[in-house]
Amino acid sequence: MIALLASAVLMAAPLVPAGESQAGAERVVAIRDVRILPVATPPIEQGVLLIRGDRIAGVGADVTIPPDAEVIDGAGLTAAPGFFDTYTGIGLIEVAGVPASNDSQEPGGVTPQLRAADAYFLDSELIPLVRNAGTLIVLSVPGDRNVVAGQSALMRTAGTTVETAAVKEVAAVHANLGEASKGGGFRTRMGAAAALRQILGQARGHAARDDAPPNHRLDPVVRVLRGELPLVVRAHRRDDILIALRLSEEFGFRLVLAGGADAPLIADELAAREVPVLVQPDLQPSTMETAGVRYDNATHLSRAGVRLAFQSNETTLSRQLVPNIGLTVAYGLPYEEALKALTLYPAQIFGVDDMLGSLEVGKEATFFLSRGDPLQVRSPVVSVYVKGRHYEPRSYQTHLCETFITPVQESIPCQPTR
Amino acid sequence: MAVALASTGVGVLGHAGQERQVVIRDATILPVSGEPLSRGSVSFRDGVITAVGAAITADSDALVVDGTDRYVLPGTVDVHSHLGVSPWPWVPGNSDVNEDGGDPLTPQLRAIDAFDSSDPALRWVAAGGVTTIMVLPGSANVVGGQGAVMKLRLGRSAEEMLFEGAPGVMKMALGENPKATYGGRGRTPSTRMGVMALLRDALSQAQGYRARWDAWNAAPESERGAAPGFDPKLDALADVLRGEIRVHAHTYRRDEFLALLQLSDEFGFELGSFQHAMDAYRLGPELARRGVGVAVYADAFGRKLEHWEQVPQTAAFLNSLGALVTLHSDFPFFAQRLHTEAAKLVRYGGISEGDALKTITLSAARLIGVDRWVGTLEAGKHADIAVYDRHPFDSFARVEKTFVDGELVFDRERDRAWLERTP
Repeated sequence: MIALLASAVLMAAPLVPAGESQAGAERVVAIRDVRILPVATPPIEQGVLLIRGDRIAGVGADVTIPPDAEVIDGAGLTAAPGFFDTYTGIGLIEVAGVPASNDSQEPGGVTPQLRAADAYFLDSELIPLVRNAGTLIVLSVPGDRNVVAGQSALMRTAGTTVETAAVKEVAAVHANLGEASKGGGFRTRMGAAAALRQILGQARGHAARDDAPPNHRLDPVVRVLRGELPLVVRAHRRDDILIALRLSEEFGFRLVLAGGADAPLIADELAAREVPVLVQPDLQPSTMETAGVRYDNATHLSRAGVRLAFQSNETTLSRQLVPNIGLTVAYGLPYEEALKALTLYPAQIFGVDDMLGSLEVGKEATFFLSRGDPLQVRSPVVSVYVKGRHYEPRSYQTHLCETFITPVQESIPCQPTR
Repeated sequence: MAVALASTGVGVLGHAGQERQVVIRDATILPVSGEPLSRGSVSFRDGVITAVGAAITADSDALVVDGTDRYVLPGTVDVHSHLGVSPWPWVPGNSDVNEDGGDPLTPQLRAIDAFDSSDPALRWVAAGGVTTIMVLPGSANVVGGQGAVMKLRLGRSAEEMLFEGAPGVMKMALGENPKATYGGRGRTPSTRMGVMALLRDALSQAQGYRARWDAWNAAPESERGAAPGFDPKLDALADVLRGEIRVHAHTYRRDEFLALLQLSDEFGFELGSFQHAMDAYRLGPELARRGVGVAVYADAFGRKLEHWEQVPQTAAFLNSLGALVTLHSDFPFFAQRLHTEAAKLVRYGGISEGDALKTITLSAARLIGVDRWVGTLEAGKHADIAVYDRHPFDSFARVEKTFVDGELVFDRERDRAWLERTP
């Protein structure tokens, strides 16, 4: 198996997309005179970010640039660790309305056996668009109609195989309560809760057997019960959130709440039980179950001590996540907390903060450079690095622009320039 | 007399019929009609702007609003809204946006007849600085019905919210939506050919209908005879042919733009705009030459095939060619944040800040045909004004106050109780 994988990687090597330059193991890059947001430590107004291979080798105002380094002038630019979008359909949905390119929803109601990594479309045109918005890690989540939807994959927005792009091929198991799951085989919240309790109970029984044969439906749920994976539950109404809390207590699993329109109403309880919340900053009170949402949800949760990460709950609009984060700051979330909820906190929630989530020596060189504050909508992302590899901010939209606009109006920029 | 608006507890200021002058002083004014004023004032009275400038003399009894560190702009104009006809919460009992599945041609429908003026989203959108909206029926039908241009006079009835003097609005829709609605039932239209055939047929019937009525109306009373039969569908389309109602067409593809332009030449109707118009960047010079309005998203795209080949440079590109280009919302969230959408044009297309602001104010008012009254801060125009706490292109900006006809329809301080329930 390992040999097979290795050969797959070798075969993939010549297929590196245009703009993805090869990083030799010891290639050294120094970005100097750059403003750095390391996230875990205070901002550095003018410093050096040193990259060796796929790792960060130096961060600071007084880092010595080795003589063999390729030096990049970062004046006027800001470096930030890759942002996380912790709930997307990226990789599973291309054109949502074209069934041939949509692999998000499977019927069945309870489908823990589904793995996003098995359908992840590496050549999605959306991946470069999201990457060019500074989102370098996405949680690709199977569709939201099933009470148990399946296993999400935590993916870098670059890479030529699922294995190399994945941070975790299986990052979490996902459940949905409330309105969405009512459409997927259950008619009531009672039905959805009963189905979730049933599969958790079956998995507990399965785990207790010494001679349990492999079971592709129950095994991922067993991993949740053993604490190896979190159960991410999408729920908005207070009572739906409380169902998730009850089940988490009853079965002893690690709960992550997604959405949480009513979460501020029980913020203290979420904080006490260390339940993180994946907040959608632009969530609207447009449905019955989200009627209580407010733009200061993140502020209230943060003040109560709840760990936050941000999610777009989107696919083609995933690149709008960062502009929408501005709302949470406008409505009282401290800027530093908003930045952490895009970087360090999601890395901690999904257990990858040893390699991602901040700019620190030894961590993965997965970051981007923007002209101006990366949380400001006006600041273009001019350069992206994933595992030390440099990516130009190009996409199929750049190509369309160059094909149709440039010949008519040369002054319109088809991609941001350094 | 300087009065902090928040502490007056007065909900209605300077509205139509009120003589007292209101002056917003010492603010950064972005009038859109001209250069920004870094320390300027705007005054209004009786629902109308009376002066914009560096130094304005306030009446002795004027209400003076301190605008220090604030940005004052014309209220946003949204040219594609379904507020009121698709009110929150989105449950089937509330949805009145698409009369779909029966007849693909429904020009006789009127959005005003289904407009719920207590849609909670209206207040949210006013809290985003929007003051005028063009409410459109949905896109399931080839001819969806008549839209309504509305002022966000919150708390009033639908009729009281109508924008007096605004041209009529006819919504058409081409492409995948009518195809999916009817083709999915094994009916016409199942193809873009079917869409155009239906339109052409309806317009030629309306041509005959109009000729019969115009002849009857023109004839001396003694020679008239019996009036031609009344047909509500053809009657509405006859008004389109007479130029009393502008056509606003939901369409994405270049071939559809060209087909509609041809149809408007053939039948002589006024094509107000292409709505969504994702392919507009492929037809820039032609769209500029024809002067047809083009309403686009800044960077939203991708749910359908016709919706896929977007570029975020479209608005900046069309603007550079002198075309009439605007942003639009379609959804309440975008409506609340059209200033952020406009900022994206600066980021992606290198458009000037002033021209980016035009896409959500003056150009939008022109597209609808209400630019005589709104879209800029100029003496004589309606006192439709938004006050921001930061530059509107700052991601952390919020609207603090929104005035419609001089009436304070949203005030972040006054409306705190509502805000603490919803943003």
